[in-house]
Amino acid sequence: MKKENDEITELFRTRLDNAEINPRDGFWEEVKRDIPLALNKHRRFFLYRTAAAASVFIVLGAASAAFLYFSPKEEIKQAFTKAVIKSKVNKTIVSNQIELKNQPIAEATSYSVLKSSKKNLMAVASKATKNHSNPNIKDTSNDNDSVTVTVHMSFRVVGNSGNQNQSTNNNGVWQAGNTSNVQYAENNSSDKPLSNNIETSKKDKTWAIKAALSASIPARGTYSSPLEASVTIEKQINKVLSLESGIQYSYLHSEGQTLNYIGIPVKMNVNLAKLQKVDLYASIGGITDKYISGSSKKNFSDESIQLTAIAGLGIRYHLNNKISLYAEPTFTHYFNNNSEFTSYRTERSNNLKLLCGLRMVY
Amino acid sequence: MEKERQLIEGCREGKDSAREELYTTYSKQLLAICYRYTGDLDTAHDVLHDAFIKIFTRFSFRGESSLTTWLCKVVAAQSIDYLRQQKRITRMVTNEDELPDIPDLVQAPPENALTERQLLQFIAELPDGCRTVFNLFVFEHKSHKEIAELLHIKEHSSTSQLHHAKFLLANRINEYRKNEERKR
Repeated sequence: MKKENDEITELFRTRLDNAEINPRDGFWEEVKRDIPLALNKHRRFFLYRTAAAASVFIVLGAASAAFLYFSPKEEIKQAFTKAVIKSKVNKTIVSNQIELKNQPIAEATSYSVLKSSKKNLMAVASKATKNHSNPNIKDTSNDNDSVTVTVHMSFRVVGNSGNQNQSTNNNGVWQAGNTSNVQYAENNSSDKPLSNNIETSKKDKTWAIKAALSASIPARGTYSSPLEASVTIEKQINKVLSLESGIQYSYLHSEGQTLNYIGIPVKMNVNLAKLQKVDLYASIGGITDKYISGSSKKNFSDESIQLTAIAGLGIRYHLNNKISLYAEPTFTHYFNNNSEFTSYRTERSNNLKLLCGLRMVY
Repeated sequence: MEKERQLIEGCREGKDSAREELYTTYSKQLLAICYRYTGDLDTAHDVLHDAFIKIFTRFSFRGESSLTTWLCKVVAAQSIDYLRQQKRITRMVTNEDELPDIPDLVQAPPENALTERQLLQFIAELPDGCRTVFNLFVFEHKSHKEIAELLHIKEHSSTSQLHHAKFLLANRINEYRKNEERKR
């Protein structure tokens, strides 16, 4: 058992508490000379800091404004790509001939559908002329009077998931409708490019990129709340599960010490609920962190890999079809990596952090 | 008290006369603190220079403690920052069971009492880690827990460094006193 000696403590404390040493000659002149230089430097630093803060504010403001400005256009474009394509066709039949006056409302692709089904329309018109059932049709084959038949047609091409069943039930047959309820037109080979486009738009987007920042509860003492920034890729495996991984940077600051870590997070997300614009999900996983720089006392190899277990709940708010904001309150547990040094992670091995970020599907 | 208040106000307003008065009043005591931490007189001057620049450019004294206490804290913090920057607070992990007993001090007659300068010299001779922990524990009245947090070391490392410092100081004092006795 070691023996303490408080006599030493007492001796030095009593004798040296008010000890004095005379500074060298000219020391005050040195200090006095350097004060204005330091004041100028301090003012410059303050100006730079203010300018940097203002720049960040302007950039963020501009980015937000641009986002708000461009976002609705994107939605409209997507709506046109995915949803209903309509066209209105006026046809004039003169002397058993059909002339098509195409007035497309939506995309040019609809025209190809109409073009391909021209033959079918001719058949329709032919039928109409034979049975004389339509009062607008007059047969000119027997006399020289000209007959005009006006047929209004609309094509409905379904691209969204809500009408997917209808397309499937038709077994690849496009639905065509007109004022006389003619409803057939074969999906021949010339329709395939359009069909492919629509099929592509029907596919669910299963990949997402996520960028996030997080902050934790500060530990007692001199340890500030660690800041983390991450960029991850999320892959939807099925309707419930998704896997997520990427890269994460951690910044641990305390008085006189700043530690930088690079880590690889791996998470599994489980969808819990899906509302109109909001998703709820749970996530569980781990982070493998490696100290890279910062401490005057640590080298890269001084500290072994830090393992962290994470589990949390997440809420996602969809701004549009592609972009959503999310927040994940997460419980973290830092495993002991037998470090000789104290840091935020040794002081608060169990902690809560809030992860907030932006998610974009593609 | 009134004089100190005027001194503080003068420093806050950036008056040269107040700054010089503060320097004249406290520089000797503050230089001794810097020397205790750094163990080298030239380095102590450099640290004190930087500390005075910081004090005069950002005079952040708010009156929570006495002016002397505040100045001593600023100078001690500046010294620890310097040691950190110079990577002089080195690792020292010792098993507490292996620590040697601290010897009793050899008693000396009052006329042979150690001078302040001699005691400061003994502290200066300590290894950087031991000296820093000894200063924080003895003069700043910090607990081992607080020292561990401040220096980012484990608490038992602070304990062992203090013990090692006391062991070295006791041996050095005894050696010095024995030499003085022999001279007589």
